[in-house]
Amino acid sequence: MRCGRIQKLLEERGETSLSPVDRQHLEACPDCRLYARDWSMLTQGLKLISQEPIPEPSLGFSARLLRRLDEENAPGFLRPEFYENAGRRVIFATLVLVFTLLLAMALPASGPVRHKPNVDTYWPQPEVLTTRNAPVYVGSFPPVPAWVEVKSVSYHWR
Amino acid sequence: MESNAQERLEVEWIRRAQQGDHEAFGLLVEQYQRRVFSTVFHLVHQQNEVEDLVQEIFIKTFRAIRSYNFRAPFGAWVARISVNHCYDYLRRKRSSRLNYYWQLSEDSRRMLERGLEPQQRESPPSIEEQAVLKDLVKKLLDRAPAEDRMVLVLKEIDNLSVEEISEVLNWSVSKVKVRLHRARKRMLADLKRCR
Ligand SMILES: [Zn+2]
Repeated sequence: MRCGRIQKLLEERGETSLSPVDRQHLEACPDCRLYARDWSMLTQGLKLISQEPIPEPSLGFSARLLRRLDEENAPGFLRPEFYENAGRRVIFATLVLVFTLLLAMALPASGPVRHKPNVDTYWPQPEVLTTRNAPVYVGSFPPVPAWVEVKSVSYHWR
Repeated sequence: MESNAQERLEVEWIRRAQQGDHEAFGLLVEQYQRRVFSTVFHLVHQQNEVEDLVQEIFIKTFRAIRSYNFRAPFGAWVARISVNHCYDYLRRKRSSRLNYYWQLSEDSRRMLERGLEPQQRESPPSIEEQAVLKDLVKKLLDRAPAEDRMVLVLKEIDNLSVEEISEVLNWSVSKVKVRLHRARKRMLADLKRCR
């Protein structure tokens, strides 16, 4: 109990504030002695830190600060972040354009994805026209009867 | 008389800054920047980050200046913004280094073991001892929780009174005293653990 009170006094007012009775306790009590020693070390260290030179603001510090405030208050197109955002958009648009061009170059010149197909990739298909109500065979077997007219047609995409 | 004139001038600058006058705010910055630099430097201990932090603090101050109601001194109001900003910064920094590790130098350890005996305390410590002691206390401050560090720095390094600290931190005087005592005790316990 007494130790706590003395240690608090040591912290708040220092060793010189102790009454003769408290001082006697301090001499006799190893706990309080250690506390006083450590506290004195800490306060000396803290005092030394407080005496260290404080870094000075660099040249033009307040001017830079005011410029930043001006920029924050400026209308949209005058703010630096406007250009930053605009720049980002330009880069994004360029990338999309480049990607589209590359895709266009990489695609085959023909196919279902684009343009009409080349005629010669489709073989002419035989078209069967019947003139009579009779079974019809297409191909080489059985032989096509004479009354079946086979017409060659080529298809075009429209 | 002169301080009265200075106060009136300051009130005028504050009112103009509240209307959005940057130039008047610049005069307030000139007036308080050294104090803010000092607080930030002592709380953060990172010389290369001080200027950026101070700039952020003044930007915050300008954005909030309309809410300043002249009840507390303007210096204490700016100090409160500074301390809060540093507190957030320290907490962020602490949580980003969970495996925080530091070791005492051989010199610090020897000094801790030997201590500064009462008869030695009468004579000022040598330059080397001073450097070791400063290093040791800085390390202890770095390890301390952000709140302990704030209250200790304001009291022991910035030399504010308990009343001034209560204004800056918006705490009651008795709360400042309790927290101060707790912070000192914790720091001393940490010092013992280093032995
Ligand atoms: Zn005791």
